[in-house]
Amino acid sequence: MQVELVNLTKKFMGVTAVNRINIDIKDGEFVAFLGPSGCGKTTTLLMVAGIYKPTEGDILFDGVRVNHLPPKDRDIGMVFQSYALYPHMSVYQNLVFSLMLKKRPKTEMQAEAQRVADIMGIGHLLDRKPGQLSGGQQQRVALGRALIKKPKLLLFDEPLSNLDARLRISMRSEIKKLQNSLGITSIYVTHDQIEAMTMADRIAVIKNGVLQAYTEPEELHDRPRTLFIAEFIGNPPMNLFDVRLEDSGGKMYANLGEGIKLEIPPSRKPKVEPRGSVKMGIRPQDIIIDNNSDLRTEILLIEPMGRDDLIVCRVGNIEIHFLVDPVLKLKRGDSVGLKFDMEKAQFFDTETEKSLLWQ
Amino acid sequence: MKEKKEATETKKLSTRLEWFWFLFPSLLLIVLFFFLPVIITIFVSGTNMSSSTGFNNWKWIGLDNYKMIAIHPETPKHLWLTVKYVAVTLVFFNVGMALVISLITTHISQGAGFFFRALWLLPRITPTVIYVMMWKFLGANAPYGVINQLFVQPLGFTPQDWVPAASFLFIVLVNGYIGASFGMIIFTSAIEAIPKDIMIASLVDGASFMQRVRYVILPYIKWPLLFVTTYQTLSLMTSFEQILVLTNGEFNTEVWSLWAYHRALNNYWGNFQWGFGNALAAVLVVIGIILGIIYMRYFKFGELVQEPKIET
Ligand SMILES: Nc1ncnc2c1ncn2[C@@H]1O[C@H](COP(=O)(O)OP(=O)(O)OP(=O)(O)O)[C@@H](O)[C@H]1O
Ligand SMILES: [Mg+2]
Repeated sequence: MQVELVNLTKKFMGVTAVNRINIDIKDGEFVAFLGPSGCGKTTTLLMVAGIYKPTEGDILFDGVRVNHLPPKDRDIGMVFQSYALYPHMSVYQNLVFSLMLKKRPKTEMQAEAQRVADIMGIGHLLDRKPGQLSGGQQQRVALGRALIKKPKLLLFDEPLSNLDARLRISMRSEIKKLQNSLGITSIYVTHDQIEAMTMADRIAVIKNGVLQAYTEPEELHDRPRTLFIAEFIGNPPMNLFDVRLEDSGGKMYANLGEGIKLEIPPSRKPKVEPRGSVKMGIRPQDIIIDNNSDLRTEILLIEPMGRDDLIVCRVGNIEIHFLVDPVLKLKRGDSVGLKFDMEKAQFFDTETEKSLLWQ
Repeated sequence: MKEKKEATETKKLSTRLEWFWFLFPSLLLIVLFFFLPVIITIFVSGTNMSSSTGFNNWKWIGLDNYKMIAIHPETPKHLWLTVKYVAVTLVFFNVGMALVISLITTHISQGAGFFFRALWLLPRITPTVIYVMMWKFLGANAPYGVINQLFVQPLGFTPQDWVPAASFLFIVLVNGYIGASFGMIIFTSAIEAIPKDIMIASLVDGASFMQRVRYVILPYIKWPLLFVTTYQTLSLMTSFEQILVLTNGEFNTEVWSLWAYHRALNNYWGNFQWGFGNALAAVLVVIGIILGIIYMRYFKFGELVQEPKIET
């Protein structure tokens, strides 16, 4: 099902939780709503579900305005962070609840329960109560309950946030595969950017109820259009420096202060005339150790991150974070030379916080 | 080996004692204010104590008071009235109306819900005598009664004194309007404690309002339902002050507890039959205990009680 949100706005007693959001979702697409806590992700999702009525704007399903359609007529399935299984019903009863309400024959209910139980691998749990299941099992049941209706739109509200890290990773790929094979249009709310980046076809970044960007994960990562996106996307977070842009001899330089001056390649020259100093961003993985470099620094802190070590060092007042291969066995206090891969640098206007590269 | 065993035994004992000390204050209250009165009631019910015997000349008469209840010509009348009164008030008001009000007020806007519930609390915070007086004025004979003035006379019917004419209805209403507010508070808080996600899930699953009530809300508030039903049954059986003020048991409104009160403490002839009155009260205690057990069976109390969350 194709979904369109047009100028969608929700106010709670004068407080604007969602502010004129425009999003279109293609049939079969997997879209993530990403943003910090309290930014209005759940509110938007609940409007799509029909639980909240929009204050302004429209919700269109396949081109038809559904603003006032009750949830039960919207052909949706929903999965919650809290699982929200009915505690007094068995897993089987939870699964077939929606069919039972429609008074479907028993044989059909059994067949359908079997079908989703097979998909989700919960066949052996049908007689149990939710309280007797682990968190991961409960979330599988919840997913099964959403799927049994053969919905045209699946809504997820941080479904994996209560699971442990390992399970989260395996469930992530499982949900993605499932969505892919069933081809159900999906909206996935999360504040975990890795989840959004790995699962979604497109990501809607929301901040304070306002849509910041709506685009593919790579685009978001490589060509952030605002400072907020640059800071929010990417792990570990991007280094941000206040720099002065300087022209000399036909070349452009970014002056970080403390005697650090970096040449800006033509591909990264700000397209917009900057006002005074600007913000330069560079990701920790785009700074490498090069002992021939003039930029020398001492290691302050080493944070092992598994595949890489995150190194924190300081030049004067400037703190720099970068990633290195753990096999280098660097130690605190070691002196290293650094090289910035300026082909990956980002520039933002200090005042408008808009990118000077991508408009 | 042996020492270790002894150590665990001492530990077990001390845990057990810990439990005792934790429960001691409430045990003391229960013993002082429940078991002792019950024992005194049963004790006195085995005597012929009354104002004529005084506290010195009474005799043991065994089960004679109970035999008297069994053969007393008024027993069936009072018993049937009590059953009718408790059942009707409980089903339609103390549980039924309470449930309906809480369901409705939790599904309308918060402010309106709050206002409506506050309105229902007014009778409870009004002194009983004043509250019952208002009912008396409501039903009083022309030219005073509100019913007569507002409805009966304008519509051309013959006015009458409504309290005697519809005495049963009046005692049910008078008690029901107060009684409903108790369940209303308990049910409302229980309904509001149902996780929001569960409600949303049931909406998405396609449950109508009635289906949600039946399949989600009622199972969720089973505990409070059992509690209110039991508590209100017992309190309806034993409280009589509204009826006392409204009719003093006239017009066929002498419920069992009022009968006991009249016999033991306040009657026309001035002979207060403490022994007989206490026997009447003891019968109520026994019925109350039996009903409590039946309710627990019916609500599957055993299933409601969960395993302790923390093992000791
Ligand atoms: N029913 C409500 N009444 C009043 N304000 C609300 C209501 N629901 C949400 N809000 C407010 O709207 C804003 C957005 O809330 P929302 O639940 O959509 O955030 P969220 O992005 O889902 O956050 P989280 O990641 O913490 O779940 C918050 O400031 C919240 O306080
Ligand atoms: Mg949320």
